[in-house]
Amino acid sequence: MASAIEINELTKVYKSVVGDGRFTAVDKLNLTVDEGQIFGFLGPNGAGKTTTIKMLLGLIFPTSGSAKLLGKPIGDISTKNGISYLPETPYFYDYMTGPELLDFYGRLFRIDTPTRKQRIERLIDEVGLGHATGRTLRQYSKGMLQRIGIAQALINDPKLLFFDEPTSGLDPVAHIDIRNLILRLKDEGKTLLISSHQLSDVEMVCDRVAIIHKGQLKTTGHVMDLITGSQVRIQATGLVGDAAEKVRKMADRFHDDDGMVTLWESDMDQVDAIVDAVRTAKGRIVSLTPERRSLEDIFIETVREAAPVKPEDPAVVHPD
Amino acid sequence: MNIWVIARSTFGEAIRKRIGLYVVFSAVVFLILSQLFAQFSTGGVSSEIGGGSRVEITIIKSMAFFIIVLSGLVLSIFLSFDLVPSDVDNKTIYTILSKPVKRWHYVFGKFIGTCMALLMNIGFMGVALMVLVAIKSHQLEWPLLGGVLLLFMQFAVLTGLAILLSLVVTRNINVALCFAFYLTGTVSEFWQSIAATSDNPLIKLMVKAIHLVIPNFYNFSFTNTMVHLEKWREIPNAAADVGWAAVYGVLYLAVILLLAFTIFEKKEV
Repeated sequence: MASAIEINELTKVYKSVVGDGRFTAVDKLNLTVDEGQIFGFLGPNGAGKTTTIKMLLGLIFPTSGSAKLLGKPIGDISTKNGISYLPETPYFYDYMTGPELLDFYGRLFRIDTPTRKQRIERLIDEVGLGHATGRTLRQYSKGMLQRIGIAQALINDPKLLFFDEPTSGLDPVAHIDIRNLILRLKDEGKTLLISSHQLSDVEMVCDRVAIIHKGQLKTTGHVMDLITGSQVRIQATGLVGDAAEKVRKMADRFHDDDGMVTLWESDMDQVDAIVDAVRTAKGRIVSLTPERRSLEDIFIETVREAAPVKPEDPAVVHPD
Repeated sequence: MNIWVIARSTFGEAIRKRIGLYVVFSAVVFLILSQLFAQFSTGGVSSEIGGGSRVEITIIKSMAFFIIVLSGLVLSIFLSFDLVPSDVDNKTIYTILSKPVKRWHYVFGKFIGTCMALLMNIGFMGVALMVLVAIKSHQLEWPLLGGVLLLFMQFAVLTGLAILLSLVVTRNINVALCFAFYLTGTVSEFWQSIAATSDNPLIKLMVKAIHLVIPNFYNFSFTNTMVHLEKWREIPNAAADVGWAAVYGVLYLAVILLLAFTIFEKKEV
């Protein structure tokens, strides 16, 4: 299958305005997104997601490494006819109405007038802004701005879409509408790279995900492969002293609620060892429950596993 | 073409900005007041020319050109100093540059759109002046429009300068520099006369540097000639002077814009 996005050792280093300080926002990122996939690009705030997307779109420039979009190197202007971008909290020329804004972007794509008019009408209806065509964007709510942002990302019927927090600011009904829209876009053969903190949405719509943290890729894989690896929840009481500490360290995660210790472990052999250790420590097994891990679990584990980083040079210039 | 699309939207944004409305409104009020002032100054004496005396018409033209220059100065700086920075700060630029828009198209489109708004405002004031003078003198003085067009050229250069500076300095410094460049460039002939009479090589070098870097706005100033229009015919090669001023403006603008394009090509947004 052809790749829609190929990222090869992509790096972005910001240098301090004074002194020799440096901040690595993206660190030798390697990633491939196949055509026709919905790809979840996840990470905590400041992980480097938006920086990566901005490099791919030519808004900022890589320090080193390379990338291709739809088979062509980033920076190739003709490629942009087939891609689109919905930024996080989009802001547009607020003196325009929704149709005027779409017309403006449609003209930038050199879409002919009849096609443009047809698409504008359809998109306005699709994103649920038919009742507000006469209003300027200054009068739009946050949710309405998000909807017109989605519409402008679809005006050129792109092959590859970058969505940064597409459901931000939307009410639950609109949330579902956008999720269905994303699935429909996938059925049309489009490729989407979605950066989102709404992990439940990502789990529902994405084929593959990548989790980056402090500029480095930590985890990547098919969503179903990542979440169907089972884990067992073990609840025990009576664990005290050194033996208790030993048991806690054996598990992937633990939680102590006033003596009721809950442990999670994905390795079945280790589960047996933990049960034996609890008994050896004179503890009592309260329950043993198989659990399906969520993307949120994987996200938290991945982020918490990342090695601590030394304090940043306060003189280093940080990206927005 | 994308330049035109961006120019149109910039023009639309500029004419919606209230500063244009205030400036034009104030200018029209002053134009009307200038007529009253002229009448009081001449004691209401009429006419060698039509219904208004030559002195009265001269006063009206002087005041009108002063108002046009002041309005043009304010508009050219305040319509353009924030064009690119506000798009960057608001992230509006993300959804433009992520589309098949060359960076220099974006900058050039912004420049053209602002010049269109500037031309509309200055042109409106120029036509108002022509009408006022025509009412007084019962004849249309078409060369007045030529003078106004040259002033527009002057402010187009200033607009280009403001856009170039907006890519490298903060807004406040940009505004201060534009005003400083304009004032320095307008009295360029004065600096040159200082250098000519001075023996200090440092002063000569400084004036040469100023002359090289800062546009000579005095080149575009034919207002004195326009005010005393009958004297225009006495000036040898007047048409050639105007032509050279226009060529100077276009060349200077080309250099400013090329610099702006080059800087913006590498600018991270």
